[in-house]
Amino acid sequence: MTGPVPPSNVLQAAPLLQLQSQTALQITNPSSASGGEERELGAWETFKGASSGNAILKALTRASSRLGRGARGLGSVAGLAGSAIALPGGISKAIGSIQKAWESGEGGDIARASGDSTTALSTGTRLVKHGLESYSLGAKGVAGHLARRAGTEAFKQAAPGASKAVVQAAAKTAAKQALAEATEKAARRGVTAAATAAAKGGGTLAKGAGAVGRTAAKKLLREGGEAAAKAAGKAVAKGALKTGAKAAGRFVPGLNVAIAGLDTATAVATLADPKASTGKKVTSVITAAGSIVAATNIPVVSQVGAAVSTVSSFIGSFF
Amino acid sequence: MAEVSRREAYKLPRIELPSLEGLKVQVAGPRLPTADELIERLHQKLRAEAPHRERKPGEAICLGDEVECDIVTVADGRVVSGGVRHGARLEMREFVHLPGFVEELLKIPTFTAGTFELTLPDDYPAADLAGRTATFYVEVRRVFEVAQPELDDSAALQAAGLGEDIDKAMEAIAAEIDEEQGRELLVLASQTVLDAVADRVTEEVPAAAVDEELRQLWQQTEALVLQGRDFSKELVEQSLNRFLDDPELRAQAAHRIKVGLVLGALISEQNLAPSPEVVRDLLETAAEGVGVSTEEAREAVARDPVQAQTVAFSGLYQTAVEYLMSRAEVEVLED
Repeated sequence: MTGPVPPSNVLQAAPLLQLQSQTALQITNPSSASGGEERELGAWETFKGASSGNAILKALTRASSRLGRGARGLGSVAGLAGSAIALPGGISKAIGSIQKAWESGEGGDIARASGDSTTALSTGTRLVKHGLESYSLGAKGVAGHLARRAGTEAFKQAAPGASKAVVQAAAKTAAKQALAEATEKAARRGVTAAATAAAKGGGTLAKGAGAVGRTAAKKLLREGGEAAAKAAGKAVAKGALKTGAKAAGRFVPGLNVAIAGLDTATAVATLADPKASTGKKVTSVITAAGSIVAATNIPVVSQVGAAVSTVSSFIGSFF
Repeated sequence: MAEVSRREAYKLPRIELPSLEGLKVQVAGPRLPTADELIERLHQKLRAEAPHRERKPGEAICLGDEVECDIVTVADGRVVSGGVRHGARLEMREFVHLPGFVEELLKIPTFTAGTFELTLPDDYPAADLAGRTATFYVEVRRVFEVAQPELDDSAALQAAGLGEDIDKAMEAIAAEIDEEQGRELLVLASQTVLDAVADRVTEEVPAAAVDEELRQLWQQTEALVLQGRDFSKELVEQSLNRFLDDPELRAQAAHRIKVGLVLGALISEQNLAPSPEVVRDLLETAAEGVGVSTEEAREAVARDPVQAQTVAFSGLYQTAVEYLMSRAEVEVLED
């Protein structure tokens, strides 16, 4: 890779775009990036999370076990997720800083939250008003992100001493042009057209055994009875993982508090914990799935006596 | 570890199963995904399979990285609802609602912690926080550099199991979303039926039971970040109290408990027990997620009576949910 070309003017876009393509090459061609092709498969498989359901979680947990063994010798930080190991350097200072911010605010007197402005608007209402749409980037957003990333990094390489404001301004200018190009490129390559066509088709590919699409689900519900009930039961049993992925990907403080999301986040944390037993992992998946219908993951409060005696009468036949 | 407060004894009411006569509900039908949603899904799928490298302690984070971190958010002297996250996984790209967040996070090296302030935008989704200054404590635990491929990169598409070209990839993703939406519709129908039956419960849920339900949830989530570190007892306690006093969370918790009471009454009155198929299906699904065989999952669960009981409860509750669903009429509303 050739060295970075310094721009003649910090706000001039062309040199940045040139650098951007070099940076993009570094990103899309891993062998050109520092660190080469060092591929810590286990660590990544553990980390990448529940983005597409069970298959991902399968990999996630398998890798997690391997990681616990390998990480110690390598000095890797992997495998510490979910643990209480403190980070070195600066952690006390960082905690002290936010503790100070908390103490300096008007609410530092441990005020009960009822009636406080922070909870006056129910989180449920907020969720309805601000759906997932705001998190979807689409062609334009993805292209814009890549453009900004390339622009910022390129400029940082070209002018490492530049102030944050200058870097941002330069990257923004570069991104503006790059965004138009990237969007056009995506359209030219057929990404947008393919997505538009597939969206209109709605997903007509043959599905695996037992899979139920939109149309089949509607038909089942319309017909009702045992078949619908069984299908719903199976859907509930598998329902948690996608929700878990959404919960992991979003971060909007003050907005996203829902019990079902908390349950699935707990399940994902258990799966990623190398110290959790297989039995605990199995039950964490099962209970998180059930909690999507707000029923099963309530170990103390709602498992009433009658159900306990019922369970004791049949549990031996399964285990 | 800070002590958690507000713990009182409670007794749940014993209820009779409400009448299931005229159990009829309406649910909104799913809408077709947009082209943008398909592209976003493709981006995420390619990202999951892309070449990557775990960054070493002290190494700088870059845009495009995948970061796992613990976060605490404070504003106006209060711990912000939903702002405490344990093991949050964040892609380092612009956060639509938190401009500047990623830029600040990039200044915290891998496996260290930092605190920074941001002024939330005037159009911030949580209106009461719009324009306010928020302080974020972030502990960066793990970071991966990701070599994100082009959306139409044939080799990357194939590696992700999406076919050899962009057309096939988009079709596969549309089919995947179709299946998810079918499953979600069935789950939504189940939720709505349970809601309808729980709404027929006239007995009140004791406030102390709601407290306990939420306290346990807090213990499994925010407490994982706040306890065992140097946060003051007062800050930790405020976090718990905010959790316990959130009207929306209290309503959800009370509802969950009512659902539990309904299912308990149903199980008792009808002498329900899960079939071997139901328990096997549960174990099969979970085993796939954990990466073991169904038999290995069964054996692992059998070794621990607490886990075995939890699985048995889940099977029992699923059977009860199916019982209710088979007696309900569900109307799917179309746009």
